[in-house]
Amino acid sequence: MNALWTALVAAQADAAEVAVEVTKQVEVVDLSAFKAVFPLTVLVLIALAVPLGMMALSWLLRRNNPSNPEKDLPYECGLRAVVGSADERFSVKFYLIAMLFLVFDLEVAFLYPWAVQFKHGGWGMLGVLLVFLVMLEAGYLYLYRKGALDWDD
Amino acid sequence: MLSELMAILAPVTVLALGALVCLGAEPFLKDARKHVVLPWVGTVFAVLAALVQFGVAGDAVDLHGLYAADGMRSWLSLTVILCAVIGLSGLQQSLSRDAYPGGEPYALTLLAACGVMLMVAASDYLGLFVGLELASISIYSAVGLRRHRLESGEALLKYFVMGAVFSAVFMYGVALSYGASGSTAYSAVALEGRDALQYLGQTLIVVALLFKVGAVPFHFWAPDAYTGAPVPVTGFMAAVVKIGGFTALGAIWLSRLAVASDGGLAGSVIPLGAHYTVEEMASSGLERGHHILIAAAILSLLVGNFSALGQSTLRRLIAFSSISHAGYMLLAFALPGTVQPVAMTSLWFYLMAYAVASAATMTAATALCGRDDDDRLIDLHGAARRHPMLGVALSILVASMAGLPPTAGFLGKYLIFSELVAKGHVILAVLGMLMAVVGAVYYMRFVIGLWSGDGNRVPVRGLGGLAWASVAVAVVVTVALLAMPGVIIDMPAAPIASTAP
Repeated sequence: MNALWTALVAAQADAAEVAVEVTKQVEVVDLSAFKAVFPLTVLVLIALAVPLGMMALSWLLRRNNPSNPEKDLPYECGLRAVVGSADERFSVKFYLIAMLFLVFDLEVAFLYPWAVQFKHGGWGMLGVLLVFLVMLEAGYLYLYRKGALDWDD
Repeated sequence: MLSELMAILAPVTVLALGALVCLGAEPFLKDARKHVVLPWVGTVFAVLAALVQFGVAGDAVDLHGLYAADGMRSWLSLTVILCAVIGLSGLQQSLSRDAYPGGEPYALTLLAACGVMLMVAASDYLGLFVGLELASISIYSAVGLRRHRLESGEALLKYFVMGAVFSAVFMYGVALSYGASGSTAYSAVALEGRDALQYLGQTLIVVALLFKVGAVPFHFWAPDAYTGAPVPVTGFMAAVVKIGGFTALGAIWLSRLAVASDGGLAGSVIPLGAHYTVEEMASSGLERGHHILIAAAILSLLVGNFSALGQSTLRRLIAFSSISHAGYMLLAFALPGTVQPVAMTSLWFYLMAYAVASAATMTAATALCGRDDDDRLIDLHGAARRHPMLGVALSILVASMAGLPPTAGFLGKYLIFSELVAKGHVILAVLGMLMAVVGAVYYMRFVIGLWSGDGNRVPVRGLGGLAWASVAVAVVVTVALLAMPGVIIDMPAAPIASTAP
C-alpha cells in the first residue's frame, strides 16, 4: 500500500514537471494573441459548420422528386394552406393586449409568493406591495385614459 | 454612502420624476391644454434638477465605481438640463402649432436628458449602457413623432435599426473587454493593455460611440434621422447625444491616459478635469486609439463640411454640420508628439458651447418654419426682418457654431486648435482651421439669408414665452462662456474619493 502511494506521488510529481516544461515551451513563442482569439475562432467555425453541415446532409440524403405539387405546400395539419401569405398585417391592438396581459399576469405571479410569506412580514410587506401595485395601476390608468383599451376606434 | 447617492443621482431622479409627472398628467388634460401645461411642468422639474445639481456640485465622489460626480461632470449635466428645457420649449412651439394629439414628447425629452446625464456620470461601461439606452430609446421615439409623414417613418426606422445594431456592437465590445480584464469599470479595463481581446473589445466600444456621435464613417444615419425629426428635436438630439457620446469617449480616454502616465489615479475613477503627462505611448495601446480617432476626425471634417455646403433644408444643414462638429471634437483626442500634459478640457468646453448653440438654434428656428416643420432654407429668407430679435438671437447662436467671435464657439475652436499646435500637430490644426472657414461659408450664408429678402414666406407668429426665455438663456450662456471661460477651463481636478471597497 505504502509503495503504491509513493509511486502515485512520484507519478504526480513527474506529471507536474512535464506540465511545467510544456508551459515553458509554449512561452517561448508569444501565443497570447492567438490564445485570446482561439476560442472565438472555434466558436465561429462551429457556428458555420452546424447549419452548413445540416444543409449538406439533407441535400445528400433526401430524394429529389418534385413530381407532387402537394409536397411544396406548407404543412397545415393535413389541410390545404388556406390562410394566404405569411406577411399578413395584424392590428397593433393584439400586441397591446398581449403586453397588458403579460404585465398583469406577472403581477399575479408576484402576488402568490408574497401572500404565502405575508404572515412573517407584517405591515412593512403590505406597504412594499402597495408601492408595486400603485405603480402598475398608474400605468393601467394611463392606458385606460389614453383609450388604449377601446377595441373600436 | 447616502451623500454619494444624493450627489450623483439626485438631479437625474428629479428630472425622471418630472418625466413621470408629465406622463401621468398627460391623459387627464385636454389636447389643447397639454401643450400649455406640460412644457411648464417639465421646465419646473428641470429647474429643480439644475438647482439640485448646483447644490450637490463640488464634491468629487463615485458610487461603487458605477457613476461618479465631479466639477466638470456637473457642468456637463447642467448643460444637458439646459438643452432639455430648450428642447421642451421648442417642442411646445412645434407641436402646438400642428395641434399634435398627445403630450408624451415632453416626457420623452426629459427621459432622454436623464439618460444623457447618466452617460455623463458613468465611470463604468454598464452604467454607461443604462444611460445610453435610456437616451437612445427616448430619442428614437422623438424622431418618429410625425408618424403620418413618410420621411419621419424612414428616419425612425433607420435610426432605430442602426442604433440597435450599434448598441449590440457596444455590448459585444464590453463583453470582450470584460473577458480580457475581468471588470467593466473604465479604469480597471484600461489597466489591461496589450491583449488581442482587449484591442478588439475597445475598438468595438469606440466604434459604437463614434456611431452615436455621428462621426464619419459611421454617420450614414445622421442626415436622414435629423431630417425626419421635428425641428426642435433635431437640435436637441444633436446636442445631448454628442454630450453623452463624447463624455463617455473622453472619460474612457482619460482612464487610459492615466495608465500610460506616471500612474497617478490609475485604476480609480478619473475626474474629467484631470490632466496627464503621457510617457510611454507606444506600449500603452493609446497610439492605436489615437490613429482611429484622428482618422475619424479628419474624415468627419471633410465629409461633414463639404456635404453641408450643398444642403437646401435647415435640418440637413444642421445634420452635416453636426458631423463636422464631431470632427472638431475628435481632434481633441490627439496625443502630443513630445512629453507634455494632456487634458480634455478643450473638448468639454467645445461640447458645452456646441450643445447650447445647436439646441437653441433649432428651437429659435421652429418659429420660422412652416407647418409640419417645413424648413427649406429659401423659405427662411428675410426671417430676421420680420422678427428682428429672433434674427439677432439666431445670428449669435449660429456664429457660435461657426466659431466666430464674440461667442463661446470661437473660444472652443481656438482651444482645440491651439492645443493641437502645442502638441505638434500643425497640419491637423491647419486642416481644422480650413474646415472652419468652409463651415463659416454655409453658416454665414444661412445668416445672410435671414437678413436679406422680404420675409413674405415666413410665418408672422413668433416664439412663445417659454421658448423666448430658453433661447435668451442660451444666448446669454453662449456669450458668457466666452467672457468667463475660466469657470470651466480652470476647473480644479480634485481626485475622486472612492467608495468602492
